[in-house]
Amino acid sequence: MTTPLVSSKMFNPVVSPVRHTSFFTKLPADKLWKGVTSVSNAGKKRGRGRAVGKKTAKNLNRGQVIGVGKTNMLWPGLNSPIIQGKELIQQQKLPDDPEREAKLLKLRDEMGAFRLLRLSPLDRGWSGPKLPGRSVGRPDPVGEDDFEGFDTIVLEFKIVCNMKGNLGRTRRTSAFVVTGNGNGLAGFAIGKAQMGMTALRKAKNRAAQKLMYVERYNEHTVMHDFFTAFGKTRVFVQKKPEGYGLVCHRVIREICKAVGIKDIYAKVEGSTKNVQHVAKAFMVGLLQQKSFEMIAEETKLHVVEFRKERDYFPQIMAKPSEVKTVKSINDMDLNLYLNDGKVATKKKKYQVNESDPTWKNHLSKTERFRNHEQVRVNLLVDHGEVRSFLADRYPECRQIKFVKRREES
Amino acid sequence: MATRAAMFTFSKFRYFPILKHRVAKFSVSSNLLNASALEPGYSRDPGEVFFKENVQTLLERLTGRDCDKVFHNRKLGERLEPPKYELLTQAEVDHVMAEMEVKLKRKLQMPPLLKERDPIKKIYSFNPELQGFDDSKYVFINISQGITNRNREVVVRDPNGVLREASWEERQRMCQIYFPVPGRKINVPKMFEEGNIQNCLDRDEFEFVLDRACAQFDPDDPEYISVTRKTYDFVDENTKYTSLRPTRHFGPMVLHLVLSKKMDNLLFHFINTKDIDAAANLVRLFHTVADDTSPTEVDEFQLIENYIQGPALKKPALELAWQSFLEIEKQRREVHSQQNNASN
Repeated sequence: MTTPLVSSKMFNPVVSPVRHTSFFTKLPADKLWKGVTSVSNAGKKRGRGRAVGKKTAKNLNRGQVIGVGKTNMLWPGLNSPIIQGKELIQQQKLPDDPEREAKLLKLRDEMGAFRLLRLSPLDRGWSGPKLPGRSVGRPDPVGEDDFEGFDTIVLEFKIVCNMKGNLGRTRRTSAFVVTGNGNGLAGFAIGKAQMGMTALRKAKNRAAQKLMYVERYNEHTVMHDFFTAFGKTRVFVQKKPEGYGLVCHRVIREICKAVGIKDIYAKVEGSTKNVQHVAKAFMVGLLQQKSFEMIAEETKLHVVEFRKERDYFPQIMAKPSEVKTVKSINDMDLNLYLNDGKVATKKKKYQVNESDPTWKNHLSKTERFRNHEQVRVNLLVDHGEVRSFLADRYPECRQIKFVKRREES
Repeated sequence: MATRAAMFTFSKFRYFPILKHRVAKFSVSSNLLNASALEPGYSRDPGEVFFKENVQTLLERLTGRDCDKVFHNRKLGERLEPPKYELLTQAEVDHVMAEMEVKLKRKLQMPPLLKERDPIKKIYSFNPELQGFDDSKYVFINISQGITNRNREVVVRDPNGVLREASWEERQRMCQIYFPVPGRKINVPKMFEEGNIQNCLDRDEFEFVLDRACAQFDPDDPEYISVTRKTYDFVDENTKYTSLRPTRHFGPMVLHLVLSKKMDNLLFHFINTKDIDAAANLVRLFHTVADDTSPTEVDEFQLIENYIQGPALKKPALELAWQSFLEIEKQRREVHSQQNNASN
């Protein structure tokens, strides 16, 4: 048994199963591509394929043509006609196109992740990518009038439903917008439509047809403090000096911008989330303002303005045609008269309890910083820098100044 | 009231070595100031003229009164407040207006035009045995109440043993520490330095510069004199009289121009703006300042003409302006009489 045996088994062919058809060969390219890149209907319903910043597949075939490649060759019958005139075109090499590669790469770079249109932070709305708070441009021109200088801001953009006997729940989009020229003219309106954009357009153009003129004091604030209400929404508005800004509910802020009011304080009480009520209450209040002449005529008294920056010089704003000699109780104060004797309750200012141990603790901790701010200012005024009283003797002891690194252009 | 003297001890000075540096600064600035002492080319002592009653009335008339300009919006350096409104009867309006009249008078009170003060050189005693007692001066100030800062006793013991009265600069500094004047700083603001003041003047901030100089310096302080004279001359050279017209600084400026014989530009301005009352008052002021006489001419036109023919320095320009003014006046009268005839 020492002779090697050659087994007949060693020469048996190895049988491995081979499939010559697969879905690659069975399906056309576009269906294959769709299968790889898209999400099925059932998947969509579950919210698949909606991830933010998801990388989408790049179609590398885009921009490529059969017969055109890295080497610029002329293939008669493939990328050029065979006969030109009476001459037979020969296969030949043309000079290379250096931009081809770059063009292809650029095309591929443009594919890929889907990017939202970048908005300037000032142009964004109140919240995320949503519409409320965003500008949608001026209203469409009507005949000659092209609404120069107008701007429209969306205040509310929501879906509203209605039940119908035959159609069931029907949905529409409702847009509530304010439009104005920032110079006293403003209007607001609601527009409803199946499509959001249509609703916006409807609302914008309706608002342009309902413009109202609002009187302003020196073109920067309201004429006087006032109280106004609509439904459960109550608004307390205060006149403010130049430079104060718009300190109010965001709906009121947008209306102020449309009207051209720059300085105001407004407190909304009651229902603050009902956008339409807030807007209506504020607008009604603006329209019900009284001019100084009206106040003077109604009270039969002089309206006199005192400003601190003018050293309380009595500036007579309006004179009545006839002056009465005895004042009623409501004439003692302008706000009292404007509100028919009603006074808005003011929150009591918090008063520190001097014997409170926590207050004492706070004082002991902050006492050593109490004049720092003023000292800094004085040092900057005198020496142009914040420095120690030893700086004369030890000039090397200087505060390291922060110098902004210049961008190399 | 008992006299209480506050004393800077040695230890106190040791903690403020910067103070020594500032003391050294005084001597530098006083050298600078001596140079400016020669500057004003006045014919008379301005203080003597300024406080005369008829000069004051003339200056007040020249200043005029314009509430809107006097009570214009000022930058207070603090947050603005919303305006306050009141509903007033006629009697109340009259009352607040009367109060405003008093306020206006106070606001238009003119800062005096004075000559420079004499430096203080009084020495109380010299004690050679104290020489080198310390390397700092000791300053003593009487901080009792009821004394004006002008009369307050401030004395200095120098390291060389001299006990002397404090110089004006030391005195002002000590008084500012113990009795701070609002708006005044211990160190002279950089605004009043040579290049910076020119910058302010180029931006037409005359009232601001003069107001701040009033707050910072005494009216006979050499620095006050140099700052204000510089401002007055700048206004005169650029004929920007309207920017100072209804303020308290207009009177001193006019007096300065008259005293330094530079009033012809101003007269030219008055004639061009057809302000004949002011022009006549200016000529009257000229005569009062020149020889303490009030002119005999009653007619304002005659008064001005006599000045232009007589002592005026810029005769050709003034004559031309005066003639054209008379021409226009004549035409105006003719048109007026024609209108009257037509309406009759």
